[in-house]
Amino acid sequence: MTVQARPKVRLTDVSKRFPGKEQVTALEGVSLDIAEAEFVSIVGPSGCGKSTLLRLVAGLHEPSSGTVEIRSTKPDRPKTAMVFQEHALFPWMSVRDNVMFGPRNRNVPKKEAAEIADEQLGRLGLGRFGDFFPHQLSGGMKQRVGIARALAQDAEVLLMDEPLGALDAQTRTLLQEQILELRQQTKPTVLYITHAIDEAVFLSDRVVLMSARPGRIRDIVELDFGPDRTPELRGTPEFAALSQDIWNHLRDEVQAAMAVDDK
Amino acid sequence: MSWRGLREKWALFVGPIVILLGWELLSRAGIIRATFFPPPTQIIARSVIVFEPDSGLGGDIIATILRVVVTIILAVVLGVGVGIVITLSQWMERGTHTVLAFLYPIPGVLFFPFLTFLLGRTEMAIILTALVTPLIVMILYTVAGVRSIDRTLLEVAENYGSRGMRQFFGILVPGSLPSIVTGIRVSLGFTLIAVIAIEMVGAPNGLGQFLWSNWQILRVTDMYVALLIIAIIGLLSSVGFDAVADRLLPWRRDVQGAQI
Repeated sequence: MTVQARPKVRLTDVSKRFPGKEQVTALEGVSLDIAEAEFVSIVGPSGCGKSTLLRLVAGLHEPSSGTVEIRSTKPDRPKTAMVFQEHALFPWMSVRDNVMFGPRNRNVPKKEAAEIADEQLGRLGLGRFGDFFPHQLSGGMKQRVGIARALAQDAEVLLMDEPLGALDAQTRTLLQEQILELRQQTKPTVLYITHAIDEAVFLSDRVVLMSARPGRIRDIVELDFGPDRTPELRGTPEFAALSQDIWNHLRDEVQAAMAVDDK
Repeated sequence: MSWRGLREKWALFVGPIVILLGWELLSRAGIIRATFFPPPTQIIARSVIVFEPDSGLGGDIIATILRVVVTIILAVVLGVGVGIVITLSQWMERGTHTVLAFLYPIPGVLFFPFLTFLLGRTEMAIILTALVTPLIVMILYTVAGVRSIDRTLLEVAENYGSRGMRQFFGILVPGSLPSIVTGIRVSLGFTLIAVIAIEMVGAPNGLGQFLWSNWQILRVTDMYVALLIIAIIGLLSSVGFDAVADRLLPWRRDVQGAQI
């Protein structure tokens, strides 16, 4: 997919350094455009600054240099909504209150916010669980609540930080399919972080490969499976070939990262 | 407690029974002086004075409980407020740290003479003296509670636009509640200790005063009755508190960093 007139998200020469005894450069010279309704995944070895990149887009960190721009379509629409790795639900709020959290912070009336929450929970198959508390749910269900919470924001960009990283293989496969379905229904703009290459290939339009610290973009792989792909994609030879190809690209970086860790 | 529960927990009662039985036997056999260590059965039998208006013990129990309740409420309200405000700024946290660390180990009852200079031997002086230690405990536990809130949850709050008062009441207070609850439990003990100690030295009534005055006239059995009641109040307050806390905060044991 080629970049259209104006990208939804534009990162221009972004670097991030964390000061300290030994200054850590997490990201260096990252430039990336993400188009409206595009699904972009970032893969790379641990410690390559993937999460930092996402937090820069979310506005949780400021870049040390360079700029992050997100194009707004409506003035009061939130720019980003993030799905976190460890679900990060508020344990003292019911499932519904967790999902209403964003709208309530924008002063959406309580009733309306509850309707939004129930709708999103319903989409993720959790319609009956609004009154439950997070500690009563399984890991996969909690993560779906986290996704519902992000969807309730109806933000310009959906950010997902290894959302399935902590789940078992079967739950993970199932949730990948659910995310694909959401993608096809609402066509959100997504920046998705994962270690799992197959997950990135299964879901994305483009896969960004990052190098070991300091994180730079090493390569961008365009996938032309189109948004109407089905779970059967996983069984095709193209899928296997692409996943292997990406792994070949990444192997050196993962080894480099491990060598740094060993030192 | 169900019969099954009782069967599993019988060991809890072995310690107290062995001690009481030993005491009973030694006292009855005259090995320890019954004047100072009357047999437990005698103490328990004597406990009926609670219901005798002449003894004044009923009123003393109420006085002590009221003092404990007022003190703990003040400690919680002030301590949580001050604790959260302190965490809003690093300077404030550093600035108060020394003062708290300095005051904390001082036995609270030592502030009583000082406060009586200002307030006389009033109820106010008693409450304020009792308040010192639990207040510091509540401040420390609240600060620790705010610090223990999962960083990711604070990121969620920020990314989802929670600010100002919404952040204070929606995130900071509930997020630190598990630690605050533990703090209340600890403070309850300190409060009871402080109130009894102050009553012994300078209150016109209360269990501490009852205990002390009976000791002075060597009405030893009555003294032990007061002791027994104090122990029971302490036991009930912590057991009852745990039950209430578990019901109000069912997620308490689910939170990272919460001390139980």
